[in-house]
Amino acid sequence: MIPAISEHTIVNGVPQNGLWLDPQGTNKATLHQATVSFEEMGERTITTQVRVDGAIAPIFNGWELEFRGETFVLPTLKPQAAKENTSRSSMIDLVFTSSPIHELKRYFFAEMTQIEQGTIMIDKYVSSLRLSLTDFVAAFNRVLDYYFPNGDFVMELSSSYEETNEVKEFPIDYMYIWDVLLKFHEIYGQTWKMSTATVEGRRVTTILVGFDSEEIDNHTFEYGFDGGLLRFERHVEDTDIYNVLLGRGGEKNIPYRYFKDVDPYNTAWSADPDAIPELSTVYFSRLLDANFRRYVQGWKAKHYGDTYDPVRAQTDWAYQKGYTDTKFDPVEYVKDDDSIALYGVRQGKLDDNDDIYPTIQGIWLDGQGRADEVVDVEITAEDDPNAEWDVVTRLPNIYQDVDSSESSERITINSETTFSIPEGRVGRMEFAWLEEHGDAVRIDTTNSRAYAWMRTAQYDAGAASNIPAGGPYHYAASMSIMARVIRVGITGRFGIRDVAIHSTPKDNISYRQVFTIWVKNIWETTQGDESDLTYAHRVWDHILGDRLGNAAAVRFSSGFMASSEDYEFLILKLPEVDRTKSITTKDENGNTITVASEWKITLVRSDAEYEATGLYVPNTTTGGCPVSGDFFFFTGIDLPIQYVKWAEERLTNEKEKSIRENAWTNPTWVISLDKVRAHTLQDEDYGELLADRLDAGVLVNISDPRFTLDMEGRRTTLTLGIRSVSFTWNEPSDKNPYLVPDIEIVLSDKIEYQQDYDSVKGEVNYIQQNYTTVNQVKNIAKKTKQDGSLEIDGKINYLGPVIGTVEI
Amino acid sequence: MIKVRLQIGDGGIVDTENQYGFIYLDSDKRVGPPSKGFEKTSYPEEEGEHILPKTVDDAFDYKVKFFIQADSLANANAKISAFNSALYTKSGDVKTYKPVTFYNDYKRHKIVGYPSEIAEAEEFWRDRKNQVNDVVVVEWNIRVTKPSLCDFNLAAV
Repeated sequence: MIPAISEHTIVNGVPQNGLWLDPQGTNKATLHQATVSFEEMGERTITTQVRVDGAIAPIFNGWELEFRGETFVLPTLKPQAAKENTSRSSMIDLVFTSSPIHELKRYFFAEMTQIEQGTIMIDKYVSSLRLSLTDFVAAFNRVLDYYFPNGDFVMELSSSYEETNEVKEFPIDYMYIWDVLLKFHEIYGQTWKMSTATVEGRRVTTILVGFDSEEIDNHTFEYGFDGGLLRFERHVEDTDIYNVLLGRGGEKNIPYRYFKDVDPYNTAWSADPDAIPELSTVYFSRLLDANFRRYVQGWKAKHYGDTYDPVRAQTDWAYQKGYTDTKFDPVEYVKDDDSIALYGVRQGKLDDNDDIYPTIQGIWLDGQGRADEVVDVEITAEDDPNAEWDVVTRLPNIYQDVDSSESSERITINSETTFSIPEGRVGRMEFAWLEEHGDAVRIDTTNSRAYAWMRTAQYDAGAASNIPAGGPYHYAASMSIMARVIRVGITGRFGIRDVAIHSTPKDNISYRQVFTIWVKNIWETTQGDESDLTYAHRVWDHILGDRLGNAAAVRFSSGFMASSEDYEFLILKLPEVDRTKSITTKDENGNTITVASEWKITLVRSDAEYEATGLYVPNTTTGGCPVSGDFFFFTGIDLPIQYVKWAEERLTNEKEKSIRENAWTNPTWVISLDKVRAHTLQDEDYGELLADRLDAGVLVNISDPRFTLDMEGRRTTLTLGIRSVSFTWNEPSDKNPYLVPDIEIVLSDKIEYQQDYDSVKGEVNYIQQNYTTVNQVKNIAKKTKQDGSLEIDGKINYLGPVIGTVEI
Repeated sequence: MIKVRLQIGDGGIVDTENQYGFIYLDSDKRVGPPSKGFEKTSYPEEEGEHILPKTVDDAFDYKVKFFIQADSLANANAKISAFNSALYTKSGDVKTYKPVTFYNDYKRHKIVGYPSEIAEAEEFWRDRKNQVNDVVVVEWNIRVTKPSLCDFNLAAV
């Protein structure tokens, strides 16, 4: 029996004392040794081994332990067990899991959908959620409510959290709720902890997000009895040091003419202002960092007549290098000269960051507030695409027989049959894929489509419905067919079936396949003495190019429409000038302002949910619609060059943030607690034993006159987080009663991730997202001083060259 | 003769001499249970040591010496065997020992624990005809696993 750990057996829902080995409780087991382990934002377990009389076949139903008021349960009724000839007893290895964690490991996380008002059901177990933190918390609570309708769990976001509306991508693929929690910090950078309390007789677990960490702030752990440390160890590992850091950004919205002059064969796109002949044949698929452009600008000043700026050259090393290099050798890295001087060049690379690309997201415009804020939205109230539509014609199947040795084929099938749309009506074509083949072959529906066409135009089937009156139209299918296994040919019949042409009166439709958003003067353009149409062409032609109605699209970064990456809305046609709408919002300084719209953009509804619900998104039935105040962004467009430069700066900033953390040795600290001191109450402990205050996630201060010195040799105090803590009661002996446990803690200023799941390449590899510094966790008043020290709650912590430069 | 009493399992409290022919000779001079040690740490830079002044009573062995004299024409081994057999129950080869309570009315001890069998005599003398073991001195051990059940200030009977 370990006094700090209570032992129960739940019998018919009632807790009984002791760990019952049989249904009557005639024989009981008890703990002689145990290890309680807590990990920050991770597992909480009690590991133990019990000896059971070898003559007994033990049962483990209802076994529970309680430590510090937290219940631990056995996840399995058949734990690891052994009987051997060294003892008459059986040895049972038991790992008890914190009860709330065990519950969250039972169920898969899922994207939920509303099939009708008030009815929620699981939509997808495999999805890529795109949610702001606030929206994610709401989504998480929907899942919790679904599985635990009695309100046993709730996720709560700290009221001090300042909503940024920044959307993060969170892929799920049959992930348990617990695994989603493990990954949560990696994605959103927010810490969380669980807190269980009894509410109206029920145990309710609250997952607290973004709350301040507790700190043992009245004690500094030092070597010696009073300081409470038996051992103080500094570990230094310098193999991870790098002082020259490479890495590129995302692929989205990279200008068509990135670092190139105008394409004489496609003048729709603007030239890059920093185009030079040396780069005319070099293709860049990803964003480059700002130093690359600075180098090119320096080179251009030297060789192509741009004005040289000597003042800029004093602080802009890349610009100066471009100006002085005799051989074109552009840079796309950031560096730390002091570290290079000490260690020599050590190159490092961050994985390409898909999250950094030219975008209007988060850009503030003078007098307009956020550029990416939707001013107004208009959607027809009718959700049913078949409302008021009549079937005009049913048409024959069209198909082609394929017998190919290739593992992929693209075929196009045209109908001989034609149809017409009566005057005064518009049409829409519906169909289903026709496929007669073996299991080893599939149609790549993403890259296949059917459409109506005539000599001058094509009209997408299914999603697009606006087939104008007239004809005769043919219909066709363009299909991509793939073998599921390489080196296996394709045999089968492929085409479309159940082709039906619907039509409706042109001027009397309650449902429209498109919807409209109004946005601000996002490009900060001015209309001169030109017509609206000329103005629209002048502004938008270079932005949309030839991608209009095809790749140029709008996505939302907040609100319901941001909940799935499938919700992408093609820009149907050239935006129109329309200043009739307005929104009352905030400017960058928090002042309330009213901003008029400048552009009206017509978007095509998405068919992402059509197969499941028979409705296009957005609609008012299965989910929300975009609303005024939502944030949006473009994909598949060429943003004005300034947005490209801002993205390049963001990429450089990310890399500089990373290199600051890794250009110098970053010691880790290993300490051994004096458990006698930790269990001895002293005046400075304010009535609570140090041992009782140790928990994962708690912050502690450590200091040593020999090892925690700053660059000037002054003693410093480090504030570090307890990443894990374990309490171990060994078997009592004649020499030691083990009334108190041995304590081991692991400290770090970084929060390492649990790696129980597949990491997501690219978007999570950046240092900023890989850990949260203690100082970010503390979320308290703080400021960086010029000497690199950090002031926290009035205490000066000289944290050395690495930690001292943490941006806060 | 010094009288001592013994209870085996939930049996009655009996005089060892009357019941088993075991005459008390001597026992441990213990006046209380031993303690387990203290948690302690020490530092080369600091004098002495630091202890956590908490501990608990430790288990201990309590030894009793008996003098056994065989009755006429009887072997002392038979008495020891009968005593040993009373200490446990047997299932197959496995012996399960009963708890015993030993009342040392001379030293005022009440000792509660688990007995061990007497397997070896310390001394013995044979009669003149070398026929039987007339006199045997044995040591008997009680393992006290829960010291709080003992009483080292037993009231006089």
